Amino acid sequence: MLTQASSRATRPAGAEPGWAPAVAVTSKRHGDDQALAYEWPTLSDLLPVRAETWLHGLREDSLGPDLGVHRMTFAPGEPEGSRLRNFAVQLDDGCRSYRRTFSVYSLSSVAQRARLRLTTEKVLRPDDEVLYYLPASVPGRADWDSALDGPIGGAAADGVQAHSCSPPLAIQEASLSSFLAASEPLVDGWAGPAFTAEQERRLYIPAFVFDDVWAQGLRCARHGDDLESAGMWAGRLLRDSQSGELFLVVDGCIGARHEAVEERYSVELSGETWSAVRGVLRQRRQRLGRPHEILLGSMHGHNFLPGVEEGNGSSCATCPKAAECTQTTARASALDIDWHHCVFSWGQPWAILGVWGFNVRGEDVWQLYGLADGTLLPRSIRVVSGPHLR
Amino acid sequence: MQASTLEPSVVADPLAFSVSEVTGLRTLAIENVDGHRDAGQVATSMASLLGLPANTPYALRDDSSARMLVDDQPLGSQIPAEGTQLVVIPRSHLG
Repeated sequence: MLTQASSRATRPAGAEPGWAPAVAVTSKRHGDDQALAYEWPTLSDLLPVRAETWLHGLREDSLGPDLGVHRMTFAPGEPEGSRLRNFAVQLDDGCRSYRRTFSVYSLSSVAQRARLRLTTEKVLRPDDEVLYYLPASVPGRADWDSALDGPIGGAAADGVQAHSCSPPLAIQEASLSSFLAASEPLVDGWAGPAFTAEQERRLYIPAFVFDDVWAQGLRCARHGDDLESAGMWAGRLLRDSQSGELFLVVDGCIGARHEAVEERYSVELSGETWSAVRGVLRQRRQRLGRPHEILLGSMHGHNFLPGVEEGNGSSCATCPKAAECTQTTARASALDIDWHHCVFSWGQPWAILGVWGFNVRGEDVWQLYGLADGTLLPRSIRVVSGPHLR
Repeated sequence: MQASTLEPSVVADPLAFSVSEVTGLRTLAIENVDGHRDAGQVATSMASLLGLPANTPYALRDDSSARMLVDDQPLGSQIPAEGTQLVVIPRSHLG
C-alpha cells in the first residue's frame, strides 16, 4: 500500500536552476519522520507534469504551440516543517514562461520505484504501508540528471542527427458558446465526478463528444464480448474565438481491431493496429476536409463484472447489498495509465481515456479520465446532439 | 560432398529515415544512424528522441513495407539506406 503525505495548493517560491523535486519514502512501521530513501525523478517521470504545464500555458496564451522548444525548471513549494507542500514546474521558451504547481501525488511513480527497491533490499516488507512526501532538503544530490535542464526530444546521441519535421500544432478557432448551447453534461451511466465544476474548470479544458460517436465508442469497447477491446477517439483541438479558451471536440471513433491482441483482462494494439488507425485518420482528414483532425484519446472495455478480477465475482451475484452496491469495473488500472502516458505523453496533454465497465448488476458504467496533477483523474464530458457543429 | 555457402549479409550504413510516434503528431528526420546497431536498440534511442517514457519497451515498424522489424537484427539489414518511414510502437497494453 502506498500513501501520499499531505499536500495543498500554494504558490511556490522563485524557480531555482539546478533544483529538482525528490521523493522521500518511509513506512508506518519505521515512523513518519524517518526517511528510508530519497528518489529523484527521471525524465520519463516528469513527462506528464511537463505536458500538463504546457497545456495550461497554452490555454492562457502564455506559451507557444511547440512543446519541444521549452526549457523545464523546477521550484520548491511552501515548506511545512521538514516537508514541502508541493513543487512547481516552469516552462520557458526564452521569451515567455509559465509555471504550474503539482502535489507529491504527481511523483507517485518515483515513490513506487523506491518502494520496489527497498522491498528487494528487504528494508521494507511487502505488506508495509509506505508513505512518501516531498522533503524540504535532501542530503546529497548526485543522482540528478542535468539533461532535464534542456529542451527534450531533439538532442543528438552517438553522432545521430535529428530534427523535427512535424507540422506545427494547428488550433482552429470556433465558438465555445455554440457548443455549450448545443450540449449537455453526459451523466447516463457515469461512474461519477471526482471534482466540483470549478475544480474541473481549473484542471481540464472543456470536452465535447457527438452523441452517435459516444455510442460508437461503447460498441468499440464491447465488441470483444468478454475480451477487452479498444478504439481511439479522433477530433479537433479548438480555441474559443471570444475567450481564447481551448476545448476539444470528439468527432469520430476508430475501432482498434486489426490484429489487436485481445485477452480477458488486457488488449494490446499491434503495429498493424496502429497502422490501420492512422490510415483511417488520414482518410477522415481527406474525405471530411479536416486536415487538422488528430487522435484525442482512447476507449476500451473492462468487459467483466466487479469482483471477477479478485476471483469473487460469483459472491457479488448473491450478495444482499448488490442492489445498492456502487462498485464498478469502469476505472483505469495502473496499466491503462502507463499505456496512456507512453502513447500520449509527448505533447498531447488534452488526451482522454475512456473506460466502459459494468456495475455488479451488469449495467453499463463508464468513466472518463484526463491528465491532472501529473496522472489520470476522472473528468466530465458534454454530449452534443445534432449535426450542425460538425 | 558439397560445401554450403552463406549469403553475405548486406547492411546499409549509415542510415537516414523519418520516425514518428504512433499518433503521428510528432515526426523526426533522422540521419547518420549506425546501420549495424540492432533494431531494438535503435527503437529505444528513437523513443528517447521522441520524448517517450523510458520505462516501456518499444519496437520499430517500417510503414513503407508494412512490417515489424526484428529487434535483434541490424537495422541496416532490414531497411534501405534512406527514405524509410519508421514508427515507434510501444510494447504496452491496456489492462
